[in-house]
Amino acid sequence: MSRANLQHWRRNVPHGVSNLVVPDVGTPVPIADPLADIVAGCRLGNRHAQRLLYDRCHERLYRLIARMVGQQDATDLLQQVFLQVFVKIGQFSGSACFETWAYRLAINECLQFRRRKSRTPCDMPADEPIDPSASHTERTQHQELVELALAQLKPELRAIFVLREIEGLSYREIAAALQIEQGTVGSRLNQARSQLRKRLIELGWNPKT
Amino acid sequence: MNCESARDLLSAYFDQELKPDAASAVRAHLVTCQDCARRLAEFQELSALAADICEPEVPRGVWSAIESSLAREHRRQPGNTRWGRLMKPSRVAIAATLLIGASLVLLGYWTWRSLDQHVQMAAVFDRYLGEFQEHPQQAQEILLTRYGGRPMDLQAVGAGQFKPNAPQDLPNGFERVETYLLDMPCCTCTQTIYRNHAGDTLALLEHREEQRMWFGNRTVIEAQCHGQMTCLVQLKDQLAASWKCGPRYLTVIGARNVEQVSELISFLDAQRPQDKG
Repeated sequence: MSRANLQHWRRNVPHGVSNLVVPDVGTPVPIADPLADIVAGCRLGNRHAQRLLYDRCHERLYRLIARMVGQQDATDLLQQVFLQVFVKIGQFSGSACFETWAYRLAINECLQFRRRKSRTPCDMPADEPIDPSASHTERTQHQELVELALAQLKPELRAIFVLREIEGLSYREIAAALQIEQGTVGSRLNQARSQLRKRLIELGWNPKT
Repeated sequence: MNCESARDLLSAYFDQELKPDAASAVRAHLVTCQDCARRLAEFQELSALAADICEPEVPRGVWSAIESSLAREHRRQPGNTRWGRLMKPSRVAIAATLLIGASLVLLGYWTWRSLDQHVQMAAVFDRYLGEFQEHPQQAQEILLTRYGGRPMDLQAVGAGQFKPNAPQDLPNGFERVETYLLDMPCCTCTQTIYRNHAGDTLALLEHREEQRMWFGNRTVIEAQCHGQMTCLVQLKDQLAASWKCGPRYLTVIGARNVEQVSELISFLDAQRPQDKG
């Protein structure tokens, strides 16, 4: 599923069909995790199940990781995250959606990676090469600006913005992935949106509003 | 609702995460507040911008690398190498190992306990032998106290019990005073006390096994006494002697000299019941 389609699905799915919450009333409606069977196979170390899980989740995890650490290091981190997933899958309790749990592992790996590299939020654009496979014409100026501005956000704000705006997670899922209170998600998103807009303007973006 | 409260809830309102009553309150505020409404529009514009950013493409070969790492990890785990599989413990092997381990622990404990008891016994006998010449009564108390000594009624000893062969009298006017049963770590043995008119005391111990450990670090001399190989130990002015008499071993404490020992050996050999333990 492409990101655009996923966004569309996330945005337009009827609330009662949501696999985790009914946002209008805030009442959790847990249903069977669509990945439950695959996850069960992974718990047994089944290589076919591991491959299926990878096929189902790797694009979304890669998007998140690439936004968090840059594409240069995203491939290595994606490998590490999946190895962590397969090693720690016995610890997955099943109380939340598997993908939320995987997002949490990925974000933790990204934060640890950034600590190891001791990068500041501002140094990523300098050593982040433009993907040579994509011509400049394919990347609009706005896209580049957003990526640069995102890279300048603090990792915690970047993570919450990506999880909401790019991955389309609900507040409940974001809270589980970032291990924060659900009530904190909104205020942190306020900060992320305000700071991202400020960075964009500093980088030359001309807002319509 | 004022601006501050509305702005706190603005992201949740924009993302449709507010409960209906809170959402209604924010909506009502936005109708009247252009500043907050503009902020909401900024969120909308930002969201549209983010939706357009390029989706990074996952490089090829990532799964192959993960699969290789998984295979390496699998091989590293105990029991998954060829040697590991050969050495993979079965339940029977685990049970056998535990049993052998428990046996070794018990054997070790038993050996330690046995050695400890022997060391303690040698210490008790060292005190006993040291006291015997000067204070035979106190020396006797040491053994009786330590090993639960109790007088035996020789007439009431039942079949299968260790019955002493000690006679009522010994040469040189020694008469039996009492016979005790001692529960010692090495064995159950009897001790018969003899005394003569001069007040001299002899102790005669009967036991099934040779007990050289009773003499501890004292020098033991092996000598033929009345044709019998005998262990002799000097105790100040007295002797202790131990020899085999039929199926049993006899140990006498308090002999004056080797001649008395020989005489006792001869006498007791003549007294013993033939071929009886």
